[in-house]
Amino acid sequence: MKGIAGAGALARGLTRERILLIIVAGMLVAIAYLTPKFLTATNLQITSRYLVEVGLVAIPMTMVILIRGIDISVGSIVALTTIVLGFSWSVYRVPMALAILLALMVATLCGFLNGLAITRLRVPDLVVTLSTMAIYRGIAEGLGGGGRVYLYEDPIMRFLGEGQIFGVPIGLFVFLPAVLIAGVALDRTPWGRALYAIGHNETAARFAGIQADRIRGMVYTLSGLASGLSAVFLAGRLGTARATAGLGLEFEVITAVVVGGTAISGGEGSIWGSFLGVVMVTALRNGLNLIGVPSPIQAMIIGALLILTVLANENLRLRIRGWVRRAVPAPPEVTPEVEPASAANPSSSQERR
Amino acid sequence: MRWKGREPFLLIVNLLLIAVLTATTPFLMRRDASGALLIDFSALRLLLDNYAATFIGAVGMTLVILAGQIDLSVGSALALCAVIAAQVSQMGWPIPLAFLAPIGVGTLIGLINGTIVAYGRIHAILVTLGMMTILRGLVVYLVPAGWVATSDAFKAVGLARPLGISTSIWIAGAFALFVALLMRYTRWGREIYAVGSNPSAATIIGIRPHRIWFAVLVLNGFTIGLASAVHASRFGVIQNNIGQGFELLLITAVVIGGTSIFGGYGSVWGTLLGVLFLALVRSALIYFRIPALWEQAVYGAFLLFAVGLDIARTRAWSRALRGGAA
Repeated sequence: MKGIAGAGALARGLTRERILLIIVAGMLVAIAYLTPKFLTATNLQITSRYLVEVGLVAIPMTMVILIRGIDISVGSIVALTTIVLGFSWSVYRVPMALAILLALMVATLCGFLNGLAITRLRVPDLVVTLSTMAIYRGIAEGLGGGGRVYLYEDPIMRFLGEGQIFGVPIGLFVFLPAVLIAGVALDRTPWGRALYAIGHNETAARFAGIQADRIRGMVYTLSGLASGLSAVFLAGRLGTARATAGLGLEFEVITAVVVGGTAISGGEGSIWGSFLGVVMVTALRNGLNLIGVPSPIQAMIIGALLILTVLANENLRLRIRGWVRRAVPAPPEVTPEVEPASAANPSSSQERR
Repeated sequence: MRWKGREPFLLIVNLLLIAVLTATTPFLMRRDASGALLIDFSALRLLLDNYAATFIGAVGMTLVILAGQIDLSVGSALALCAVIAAQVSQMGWPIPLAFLAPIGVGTLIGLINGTIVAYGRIHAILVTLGMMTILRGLVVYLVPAGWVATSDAFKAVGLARPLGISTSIWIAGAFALFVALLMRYTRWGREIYAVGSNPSAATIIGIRPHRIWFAVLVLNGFTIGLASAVHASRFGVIQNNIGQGFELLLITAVVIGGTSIFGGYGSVWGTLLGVLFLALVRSALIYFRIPALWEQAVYGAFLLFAVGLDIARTRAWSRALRGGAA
């Protein structure tokens, strides 16, 4: 009896995040074992800079996918932000701090316009962001005129791109608090819970008094702002501003979020999962790089990872749960009579969730 | 062609565009040395020839969108199939093989997409987004030099003009006609409309939506294979970055052509007019000397505008119907 209940509890305790944590930990160990260069300070610093750029966009992308949306314009917002930043600084001689502020405002406006088109025109999220992906990238290319601007002479840009405090890249001091705030907001605030409610059943959420359109607009605006931040760090790291920046970023971010267990059908997922997903995707890319896998093959591996994870998430997990449920009859603790007994053991009652 | 919906409107817009281009640029008419006006169809013919692959691809995308799905991997699939067509044509095998090989590969891609979407029950956006990256990676890996050339014999087929019309247009026209008839007169064609407008209702009357989605995505793969064969046979050099933004072009053409982005409403004719519209807009941009860098922004704006218009129309309809019933 004890053994069977243990198996059931084990199966129920295996939430997506925990499974993912095990996989990510295993992968990191495997990469470190395969290539000794992985665990050097220099490599970790370089990788974490890249991680910040993907991760910053992955936070609002998690929220967007939670409410059943999708934002594939993030890469183009990055391009437009970089171009605005670079050209206002070099051509119009705007001070760098002001140029960054201006670029972030443009990025936020891009996200806001996405949200506006989705909530007011009622055009599907995919179509809006597909068109704005072309529009923003097109504007960036038109403004940039095929040229590029070198930014590495500027001290602020160099600080953002190369600066570190106690050996930790500056981007992590923005990214990690952002993860913490967003994660707690999603778990503990009414606003965060409203996202899950909208994702599960928007009509029901509206009847419960949630202003779904307003929240949707906010989430897309946040996505724009985060893309802008990511673009500033990217511009600092590369030291150049050009219209091809952020090409394919949407793919990497969506892969990280989906690998992190956020369901594309909405209402399920978490920032913590996405964080693990970002770590997994960037570590995988870095590891493949160090092992010497050519870049096109890396892209193929990550593409396959996206499809396979979704397949596993949507099919396998449900099926395995079904088998476990059939093999292990539901434990009697769920009946109210035994409730005090399970309440005495809070850890097990939490795992049953 | 039905005389309601988007098609007649789009036909008029296209004719107007041609008229404006004719009046302001040497698109159709120009003056020769003696000052006499002479009509020159070569620019229009070249335009159609160059867009033959887009015409073919858009027909496949119409079916996908009609059935309520989407395919973002078409650009990378086009690149892969075109590269394979070029490489096969260089091997000295019979020319038809250079057409059949990309079609086979395209169909295989469609089979994979269709199987995962229909039987893995995953949204097509994710599957085709992943597929887009996988295929592009494969293309870049296969063509490290950046480009491959096609053989002269293969190009001769593509540039031939039986009865004064290029082979590309013959193939595109025949394929579009075939699919249009298929959609209109066969049971399978009508089932696509049924599944696209309401999958649950279609299930109740005995149609299996997953089979339709599978079939549509496989057909789309076949279509992309055909389009890439046509594309490769026209251009001597295939670069490994071709087809970037192709999915946007196709989706825009389909939606401008009056097909509802939610599925269930639209036609192949409308799509052909949509492609023609985009082709004319592109010529206008060139003639009016607007830098090609702005092109993508213009297409994106058209897509958003067309979908917005479509949705506003649907809303007005439903409001009118509700008013009539009350």
